[in-house]
Amino acid sequence: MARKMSTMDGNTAAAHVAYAFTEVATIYPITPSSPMAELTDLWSAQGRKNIFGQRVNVVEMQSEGGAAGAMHGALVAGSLATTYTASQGLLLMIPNIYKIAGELLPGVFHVAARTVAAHALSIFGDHSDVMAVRQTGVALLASNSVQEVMDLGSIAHLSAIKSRIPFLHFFDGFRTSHEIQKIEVFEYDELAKLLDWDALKAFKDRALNPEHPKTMGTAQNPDIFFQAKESSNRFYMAVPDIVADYMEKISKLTGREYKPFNYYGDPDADRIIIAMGSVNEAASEVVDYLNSKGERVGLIKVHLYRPFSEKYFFDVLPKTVKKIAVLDRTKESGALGEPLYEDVRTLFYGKSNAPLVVGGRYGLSSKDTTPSQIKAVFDNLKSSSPKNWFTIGIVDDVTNTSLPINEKLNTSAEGTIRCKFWGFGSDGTVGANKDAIKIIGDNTNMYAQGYFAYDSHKSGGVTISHLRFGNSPIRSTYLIEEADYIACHKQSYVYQYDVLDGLKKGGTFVLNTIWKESDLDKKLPGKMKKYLAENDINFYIIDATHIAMNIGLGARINMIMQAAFFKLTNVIPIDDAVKYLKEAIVHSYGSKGEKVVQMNYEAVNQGINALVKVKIPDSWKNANENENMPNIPERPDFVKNIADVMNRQEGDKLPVSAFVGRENGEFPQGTAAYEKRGIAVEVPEWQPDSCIQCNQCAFACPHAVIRPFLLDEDEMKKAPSGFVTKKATGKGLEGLQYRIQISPLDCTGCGVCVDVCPTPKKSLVMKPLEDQEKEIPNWDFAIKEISDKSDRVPLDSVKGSQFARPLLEFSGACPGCGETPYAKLVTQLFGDRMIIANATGCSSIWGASAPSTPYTTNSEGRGPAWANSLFEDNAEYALGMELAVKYARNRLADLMNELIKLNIPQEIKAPFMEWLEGKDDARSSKAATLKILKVLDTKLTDKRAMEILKEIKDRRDLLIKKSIWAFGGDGWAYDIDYGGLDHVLASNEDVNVLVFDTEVYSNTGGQASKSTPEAAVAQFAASGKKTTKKDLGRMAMTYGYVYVAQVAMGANMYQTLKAFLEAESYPGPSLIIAYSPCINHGIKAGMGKMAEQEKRAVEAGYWHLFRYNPLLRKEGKNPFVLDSKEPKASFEDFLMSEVRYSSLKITFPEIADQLFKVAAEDAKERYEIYKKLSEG
Amino acid sequence: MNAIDYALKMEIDGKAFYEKISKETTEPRVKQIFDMLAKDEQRHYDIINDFKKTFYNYKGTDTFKTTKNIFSEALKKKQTFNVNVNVFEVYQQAIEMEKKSVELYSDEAVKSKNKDEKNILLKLAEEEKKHQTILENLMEFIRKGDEWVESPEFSHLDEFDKFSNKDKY
Repeated sequence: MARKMSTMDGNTAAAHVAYAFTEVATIYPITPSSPMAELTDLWSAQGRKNIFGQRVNVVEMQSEGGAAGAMHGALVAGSLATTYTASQGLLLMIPNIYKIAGELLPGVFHVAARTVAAHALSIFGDHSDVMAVRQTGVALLASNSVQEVMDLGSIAHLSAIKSRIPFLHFFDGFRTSHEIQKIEVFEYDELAKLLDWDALKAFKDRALNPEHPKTMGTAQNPDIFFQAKESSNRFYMAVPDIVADYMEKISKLTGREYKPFNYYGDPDADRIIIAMGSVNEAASEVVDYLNSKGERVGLIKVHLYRPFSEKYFFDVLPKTVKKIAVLDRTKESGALGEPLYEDVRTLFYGKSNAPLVVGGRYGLSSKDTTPSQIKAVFDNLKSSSPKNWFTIGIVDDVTNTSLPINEKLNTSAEGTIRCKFWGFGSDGTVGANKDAIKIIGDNTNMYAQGYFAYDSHKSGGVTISHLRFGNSPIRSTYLIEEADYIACHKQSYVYQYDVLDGLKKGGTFVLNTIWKESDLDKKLPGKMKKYLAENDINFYIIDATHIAMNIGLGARINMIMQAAFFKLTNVIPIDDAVKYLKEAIVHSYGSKGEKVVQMNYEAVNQGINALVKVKIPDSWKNANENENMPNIPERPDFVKNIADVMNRQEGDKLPVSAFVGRENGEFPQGTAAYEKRGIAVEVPEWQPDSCIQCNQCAFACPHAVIRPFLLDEDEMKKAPSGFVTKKATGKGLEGLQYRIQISPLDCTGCGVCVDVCPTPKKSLVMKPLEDQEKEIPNWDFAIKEISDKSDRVPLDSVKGSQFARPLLEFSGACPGCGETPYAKLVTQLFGDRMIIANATGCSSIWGASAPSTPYTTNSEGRGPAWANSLFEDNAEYALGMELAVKYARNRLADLMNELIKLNIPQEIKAPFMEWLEGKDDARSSKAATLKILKVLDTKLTDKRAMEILKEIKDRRDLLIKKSIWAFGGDGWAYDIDYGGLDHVLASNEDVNVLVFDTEVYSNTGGQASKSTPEAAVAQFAASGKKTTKKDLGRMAMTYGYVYVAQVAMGANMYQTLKAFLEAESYPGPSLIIAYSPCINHGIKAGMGKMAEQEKRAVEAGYWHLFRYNPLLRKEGKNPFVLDSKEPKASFEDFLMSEVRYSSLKITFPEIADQLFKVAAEDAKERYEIYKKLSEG
Repeated sequence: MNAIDYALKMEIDGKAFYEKISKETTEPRVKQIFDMLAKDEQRHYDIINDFKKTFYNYKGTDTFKTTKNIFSEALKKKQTFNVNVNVFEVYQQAIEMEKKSVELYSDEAVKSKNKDEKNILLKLAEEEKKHQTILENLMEFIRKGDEWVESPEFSHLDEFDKFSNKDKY
């Protein structure tokens, strides 16, 4: 039967087959597996039926540990339960995987395999997670491509039911989970026929049920545990045959042959590779290539990794094999070799004529594995003594593990069209390319593949789309090395990246630019001109930016560039392409109304007609490579040698030696300041005449690019011309000049500063970036030459706080980010003495995406010390830091107490006595420290005193009171680490907790958390969240000794500031919950209105401001102060101003009306509770 | 004046109003939007004009004698729109105008004692609501271009939706 072909990614394929066999899905978000869970939730909300004719019962849990627990419960109670996870998530499931396997329950885990965090977090793909569960008793089944995910995913479910052993079906994170391919899709009725219905009935019959009760999970002693454990052996022994049988059935259905181990290559091969996962696709290409050149090589693709079947392995191993290289996509530090390698070695132990087996590592954290690298593995086997424990894909110049690459191969099938697109984060390139794949896949017999690479910035990041089209299935599971077509969608990229890298001779290059053909000679870098001329490139330019603007598409140039792509590549005849593009537009935007459709039609028409073919002058062949390149200012070696290389998208070229000295993963502070990305279209311009010097713009700026400066007379003399200032107003600022300075190259152009400016005639006006270049030297002057005068004004006013230098600057956070202004404020207040434990999430990504470190230092080299451990442990991580600091400072106190009892001069004792008095007070400890530092080198006659002074000197970096902070989002605080947070708050230790409450898991794409209010549409809450928002603040207040505040900067900056100051100085645990608008909210007025939206939230009674200060109780006062007024504005109007709510009205109008009503009632009730609390 | 004539007049005034502001603004992106809004008012006019054929023969009432036409009011004032703001604010302001029209027709429908008129007013409110939705969608579409964040961690379900066959199962 002809099956339907469809274009989809691996996650969608897995979700499709999993849905068929799933009754209960217990889910939790983690990249890159979240889309499987999101689709399951969406399909369930839409009413899709599984093979049993039921909707899947989907429940989001508080952590992966919880998801596994609920899955275990569902299984034991007789439901077929499934979960989807990756990386740390899988690790959190381990205890339950043991249980589920031990109890012979047929649960299925679909895993988009991802790196487990070690010296750094990585969201990308390798097998370190699945290898960490190989000992649990779960069966491990590997799929190597999107088609295999569809084909083998069902086998995990079918075999689990039949064998009673739980299955973990995995495929490579990103490479397979996010790669889009045209594949054949199973119908559910076909799958239903394969199910062993008797086994299913037996499973249901075994379920816990009081009608026929039993006891599960007893505690067993040495007498029986061992025997009982061994009693399950025969179930495992049966698995390979069950799987092989299902594979045979699937092979018959699909015509694609599957076995527990598949052999590919020369039947008489002398050298083979054994591997698991997507690398097998690329390796197949290389096997074909080498065999066509007369070599005799092959490949064993491992599908069923656990239970490992010797029988099925030797069934496929050619007898002729002399040498084997086993490739592992994981690293087991300290082991004799990696796991698959060790398994294969064990297979041959004691066997006569065993082949030589070597092992190597590849592809950690999605490191691209190319045909050239795989050829190097086969070449290594040719040697009489092949290198063992090797690596490919990197240059290891320290321990010399890497294999040399001798030849650059092109093994993709003949006729494959390879296209690369350099897109800008917000221009829609990725979405458009997905459309292109779908158009080509759906309307032609061609196969299509798409893979998308991104940099680590959320604001203005670069996206690189890799698309292949061809007449045979595409097995190239690696980035495009040689391209037929390259498009660069952003003009400035010609200076930042080597965009032409890999463009073949005679290939096509399209540049979106506002330059005219005649400008190009003076604008294009020499290196680019030379390449274009020397390689006979067909070079086109198009001004998509202006076309989009004139059509009214704003920054969305995607449709224009997509039309240009179809015109130039001619993958399908252009008239057909236009027809399909227009159909796709109707499909995508039809529901948005005719206007949007028409605009996009217009974009297609203009994209085709506005291309200009550039006549490349011969003189370009002689261009100087550095011609027209901007000057790069002087920078530290680290930035030059590592950060800049990474930012040019050339980090793959860095050898292992680049990390010597920082093997622990540490990065220096403040590297973000060297990026100067210039991503804004418009930046603010200061209007001194109307400015009232309130500093609110600086307070609200998410990226710390707008700052007030105070200049004395000397500084005024040095100021560059055009450095306009005005007389500073305010107590303590007499004799100074005031200026607001903007850094145009660091600004993201969000416009929040303009929005918060309170003057009737705005004192900030958005102007095109190119008109503001004059501000670049002004910024440099301000930063380098103007001294810190924050001591002239108290920090406890909004204005005063902003004269302190932010020690968080130029992060990669989204434009208009609601989180960063809070974090920035904390660094202004306490940055020179703070340590931050940061939960994984948005704040850890904008906080430390290598190589960009936005946490920086002041002029004395002090600044926040920052670290991220995990998502689920951050409160405890911060507590650990507090305990360490406390211990070390207590040691200093003990030493000083001993010192002052010794016979030493009184003037030496005095500073130490002062320190002891005010040890835990920031200001006192700072003052005393200054005095201590002056006496530490004093020569004393008392030997013990000298020893003590030395020890104090060694640890003088702990003299000043430290401020310990835990930062994280609501997913962290409300859900995954709520238990930990609760415990840390209860500990009564001096830990400050700042929760950036975006009301969703922002970093993983907006899944609902327990902070998500009812009625909000989020991922995992496709039909609106049904339960109310958890009141974390009130829960923490029950202890009575925890400082708690709820703030919203845009509603009341002063209240925010006050809360931060009170929380930090409170000598115990404190919790600040900060309302943080996020792009996931879909604020209709735009993120530039982020602060205004916070204000609206408070005025509508959606969010409340309060402070609970236990110290007030000691003064006999009510510790609870309600800082927000009785809500007056319409609650529903507020909801409707955000897409996360308004979209529910469109998709589920009846549910919306009901939930909106309940949400309004709950908000009102919450206010009433706060009001009562405030009344004492 | 009956409800339909009133509505037609309001669309004409709306068109004049947007054309006037378009002339006042210097920012090309903003100008483009006002021109588009003016054209839209003409389109709305044509749609409502079509109603005439079906609904015009109801007995008119005095309802609209005293009702204020928001656009004619706006035309009289010197400047109700801030023309030097960003495109989203322009959209927001235009949406507010449409919202007012919806409210106006809905309120009048509640007040009206004439069954035919009640119906036509509800119909007009519905039509204005559509205009509001179109503008909201457009604003959302453009806003995405300015704010869209591509991150490997994000899975945009609207993209995934294209790859899923939601109707079948």
